[in-house]
Amino acid sequence: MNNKKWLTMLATVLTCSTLLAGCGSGDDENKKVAENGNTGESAKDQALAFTMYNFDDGWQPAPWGETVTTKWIQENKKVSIDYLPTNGNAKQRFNAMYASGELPDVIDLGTGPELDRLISEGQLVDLDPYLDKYPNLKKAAGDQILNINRSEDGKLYVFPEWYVGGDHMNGNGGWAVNRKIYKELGSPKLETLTDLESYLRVVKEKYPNVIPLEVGAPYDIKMMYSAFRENSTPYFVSKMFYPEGNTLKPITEDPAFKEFMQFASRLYRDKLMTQDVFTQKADQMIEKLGQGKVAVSISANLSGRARVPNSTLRAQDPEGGYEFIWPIHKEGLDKNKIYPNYTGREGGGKIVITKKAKDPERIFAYLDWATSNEGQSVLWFGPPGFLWDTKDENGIPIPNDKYKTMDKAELDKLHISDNMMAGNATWVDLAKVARESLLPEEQQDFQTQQQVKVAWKTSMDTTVFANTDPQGDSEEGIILQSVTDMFDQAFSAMIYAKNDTEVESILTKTNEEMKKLDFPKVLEFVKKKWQDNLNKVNDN
Amino acid sequence: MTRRFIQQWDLQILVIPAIIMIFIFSYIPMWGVLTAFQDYSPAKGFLGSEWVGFKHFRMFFNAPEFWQIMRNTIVISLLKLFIAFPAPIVLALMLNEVKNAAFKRLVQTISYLPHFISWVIVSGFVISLLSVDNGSVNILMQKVNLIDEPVHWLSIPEYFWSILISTGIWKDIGFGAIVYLAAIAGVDPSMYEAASIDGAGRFRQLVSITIPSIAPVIIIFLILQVGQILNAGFEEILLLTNQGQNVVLRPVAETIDTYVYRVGIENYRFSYATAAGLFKSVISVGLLVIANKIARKLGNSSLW
Amino acid sequence: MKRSLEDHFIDIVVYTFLFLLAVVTLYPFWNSLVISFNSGNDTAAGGITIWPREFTMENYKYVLKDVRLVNAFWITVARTVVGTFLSIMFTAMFAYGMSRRGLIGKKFYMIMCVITMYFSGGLIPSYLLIKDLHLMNTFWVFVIPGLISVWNMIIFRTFFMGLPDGLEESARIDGCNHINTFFRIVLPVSGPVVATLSLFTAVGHWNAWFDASIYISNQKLLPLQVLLNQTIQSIMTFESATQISATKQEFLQNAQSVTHKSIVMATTMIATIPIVMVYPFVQKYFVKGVLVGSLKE
Repeated sequence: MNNKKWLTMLATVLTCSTLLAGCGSGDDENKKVAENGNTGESAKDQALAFTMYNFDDGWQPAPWGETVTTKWIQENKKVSIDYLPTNGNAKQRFNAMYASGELPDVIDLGTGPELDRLISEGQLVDLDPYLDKYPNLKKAAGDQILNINRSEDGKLYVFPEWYVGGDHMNGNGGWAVNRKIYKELGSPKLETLTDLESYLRVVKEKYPNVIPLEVGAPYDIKMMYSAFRENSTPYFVSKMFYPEGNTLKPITEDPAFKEFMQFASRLYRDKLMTQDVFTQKADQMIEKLGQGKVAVSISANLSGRARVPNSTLRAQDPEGGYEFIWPIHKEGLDKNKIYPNYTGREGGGKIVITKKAKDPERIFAYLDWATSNEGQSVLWFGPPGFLWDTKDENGIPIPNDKYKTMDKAELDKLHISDNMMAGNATWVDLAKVARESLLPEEQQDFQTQQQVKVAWKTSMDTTVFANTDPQGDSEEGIILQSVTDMFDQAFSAMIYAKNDTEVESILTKTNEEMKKLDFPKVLEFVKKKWQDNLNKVNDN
Repeated sequence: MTRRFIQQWDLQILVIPAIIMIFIFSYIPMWGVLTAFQDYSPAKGFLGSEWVGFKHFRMFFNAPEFWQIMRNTIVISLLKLFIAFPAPIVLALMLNEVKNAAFKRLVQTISYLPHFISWVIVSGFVISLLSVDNGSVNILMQKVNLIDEPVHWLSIPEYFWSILISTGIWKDIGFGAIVYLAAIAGVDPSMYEAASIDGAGRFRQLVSITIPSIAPVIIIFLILQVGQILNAGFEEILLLTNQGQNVVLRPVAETIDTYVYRVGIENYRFSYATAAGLFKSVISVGLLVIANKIARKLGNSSLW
Repeated sequence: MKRSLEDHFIDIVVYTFLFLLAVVTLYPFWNSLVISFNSGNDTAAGGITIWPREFTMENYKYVLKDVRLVNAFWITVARTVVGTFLSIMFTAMFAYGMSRRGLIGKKFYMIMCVITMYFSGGLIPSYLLIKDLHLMNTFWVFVIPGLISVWNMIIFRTFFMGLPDGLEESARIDGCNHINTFFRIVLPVSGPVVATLSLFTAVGHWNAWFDASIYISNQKLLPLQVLLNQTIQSIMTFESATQISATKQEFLQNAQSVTHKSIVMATTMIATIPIVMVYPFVQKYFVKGVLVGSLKE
């Protein structure tokens, strides 16, 4: 079909009908059609330019070349990135682009159906040939992380982002107490579940307007599971299984899970826990934290959500604010094996190069530079000589006087780290700690403090479960969807249960229903992938 | 026939360009509907994808949630039809009774404001108004002793439909009334004068002049609404249930649209989503045809 | 004239009800407005209802600093004006044709139209069509695909069918064809319906973001609502707790610590107030008797 013809015909029809109407209403509103925006492509001959699509609607970086950082990269590395906007509609827009054969050169996304499709439909460039030639990724992430990221065919199609190498673990969540209330109640011991429950009961009695235990969302309830068994993280509850020896069993068969459900249900029933947990939005939780109406809280991103509330409360009263405590555990368990957080070393983000890219090797070379110490320094802290001149022994930039004297608001306006990519989580975390340690304690960032003190130390390594989810449209995927739907409802029903016996009977019923829906088939699938991962890890 | 067609060229020329536009922009992409009978994959394209017949329809009908989804969709739609649909008409009729022009304009303008606030924001209001800890509704009701302790408004499935419908009315009543106000504006004032001389009161005038005069508009909207019956308000449901996170409400809140979104779009099951959508369309058109037949039997308004 | 008991009763009911309605419908809008003038950190602590606690213009300053916003504003104005004008004109012409009794093929046309209200090929086929027509990344993608609105056509048609027959006959006697009749006689007496549907169409254009989000990648062509939607989306992703990539989440959060509810509200206000102001101008067409009055001339 001749495409131009359509348009011409259309235009003719439209014009004719207007003319024939005979009442020439002179619609000269023909606005000039704006030009197609191809920025950056006219750059110098040797310069590398590529298009990039980032799946995160929340990520809206300044256009390339408009910040100190990207200008420096453009000049020194001869690289320009043309960001294709998601327009706040990342998924659908990607779908449409993909279907019409307009894939961008580079895509930044997470694991999930999009990545599965791109790989299974052969749209991605195999990165193996470049790994040794450009060694920074290999050096920073290590073979183990790269192997975990390999596809079933043994090839590496993804450039991991925010991978966690070395001994470091990360996490933003955990338990925190309201310092003021805690002190007023005589700072009682808060280590075991019994301690916690009696503390919450005292709070409820003495402070009728305070929420004894604030849980932001249903997932945050699941975090409490970690207290009931050693080496158990909420990841297992989300995935509805737990490992036992060499097998995976449905979580509904775990005695610790039953105990946890009965505990959580009791807290809810006795109004010791947020009553709005299934309905509220993050706003509301932050609001309550900010008003100091929370005595204890557990949440996946507590260090982030409590940051502003903490500074608001401390400004009013230096004794106020929030503070992380060591995770609560059941009597008799080893408190050093309690993990409310978990870390997948493989990295949550993936950067892929599609077969549309003209020069994949140079793109890889750039990504490899970006993830190196030098690249991370520039992307995170600006070009050398601007806010830093020298690095410490770990390769982390040391802020210079300009940085130290600069107004915080001015700094924000520079957007120096807006275009961060190919992040090395370990490096960034260490750099953050190093930078914070230069500040006096009371000026240090709340989040970093709580992470260093507790969150990072109570995060479990779940790398061996990386990429074990079945594809959404596969048989296992469809089963998993119905099981998840059913389990989610059962979970809420158990929280709302009137007594322990009801929790138990819902649990028994759920376990049977899961079997009926063929959940063991999913477990079999996950188990196989899990074993493969274990082999990959042990090979090294 | 041809001669008559040529004779009325001036009439046809008003119609045909529009029909061509409709053909291009609505009928050419219609092949997408056929992907319901395929295992469509964007990479393989329409021609390269495998044909699977009614597979996705069977899966949809056999899904454990199917009957629940159907029930919710139908109940929510019927509630909308019987409660939310007449609300703007009542508002328009009431505004018509207001003699004070300034007050009338003010109310009219204010009542249409919420239409412009996105559902994301409106749902935020509703959720915080109804919350158990410190929600205004609970505080107010406790103060006037209507309830002893806070009610879990959004966690009790029984309340959800009422909340959904009232929020919808709250948001769109003013905007919906505009078209009826315009219709009322078209009523010949001499009819009221005549009625007034005959001694008819205001209520009588309303029933015997205003309502019959705007009846054709009401009926057309009603027919269109019946055809929309399976579109049970996708966005507001999704947002009032916290993106489906509020699983407690799922047994009453899951409709065809939210299900398709959750299961089909989020997981890239293109064909499955299309099949469910197609099923919905077929039922809708059936309902529309029936509604139109009834309307034609009862009066003279009809779509075709 | 003597006021009867009935009059008083109706007045009391109507005025009380409308007053209450005005209060409850004003609240969400008013509250958004107040939050847009309140400092972000303070808003996060909650409790802002009908008056700002820490008044500030910072949110607006922050939003208006974005150069894209001004451009987006004009794009939105342009699409609303051009899109509404063309769509109303062509749809009304179409509807007038469809409302005349002798039209050959009327039933066929009508069924063809109604089908499109229920069946659509979906996103991907439409995207491919727009691409093939070379409308991608052009201003006209906002205007042309939705030029004919079947829904509006049906409303227009209902109104046109209600016009007195005498009106058309007199024009035909003067030697006008249907096209002339439409423009000279029918359109001028259709004030209320044209005003109503123009308002609806304009509001639709003003609020539309989906088409632009899919078809436009040139930042200079993005309308206001896409920017608003982006801001809202960024807050939603900011809130969602995915633990897998803790460092990334934290990173995004810090990069956008300025993005508060207040920013969303300020953007909402900027994106809403201009179109809200259109209404009072349209209202005058709803004054009783416009239609009848013009017929008597």
